[in-house]
Amino acid sequence: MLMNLIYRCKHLKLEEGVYVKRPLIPVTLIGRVQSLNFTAVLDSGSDFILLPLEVAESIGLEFNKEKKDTANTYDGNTISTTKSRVRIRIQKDREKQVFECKCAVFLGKETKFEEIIFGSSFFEHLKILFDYPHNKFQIKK
Amino acid sequence: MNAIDKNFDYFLKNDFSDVKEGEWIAIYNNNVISHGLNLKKVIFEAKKMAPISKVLLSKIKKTASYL
Repeated sequence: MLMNLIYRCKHLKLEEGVYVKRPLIPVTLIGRVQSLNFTAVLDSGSDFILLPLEVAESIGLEFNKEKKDTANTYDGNTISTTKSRVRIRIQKDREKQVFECKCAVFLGKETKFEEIIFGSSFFEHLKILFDYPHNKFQIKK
Repeated sequence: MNAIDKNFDYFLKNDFSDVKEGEWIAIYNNNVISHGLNLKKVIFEAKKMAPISKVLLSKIKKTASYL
């Protein structure tokens, strides 16, 4: 089924007169325990969907904490993750799509900076067009 | 407009200046119905006030990110 969703960017005020635009979308993460709606940031530079541990646990995602992978952050530091698969629903107005995507669960200590990142394992299902001058982006399938 | 679209629209329009960076917020019906650092507690409180299937959860960011 074809899908064409258009979203506006979130304006984040960093300081007086300094704003950035963030490509955030509402997503439903479907787990064994429950389905929950979260905002997720789109980031084609990340290889997988990255879920904080508390998010993965809250929906009842199946994963093996003992089977750890090492991943690199942009500054060369490493983090521990474990791979899984997550079912995702994205919807807007009357349009709705469900995908199953590879994901990584971040196993490190929680910090205030973690967020849900939708990386390449989400992008591979879709065409995504960024139109920042017009403050919008489009997700098509 | 469905509940998630409505909550996301509210999320886009607000800067949540009264919520600290790193806190989770639960949005329902143009309100933040619970917030805090512990996601499970935020969900627990939100469930008392709204059907969780119609609640939008987000983590508050106030600084630039370099992912």
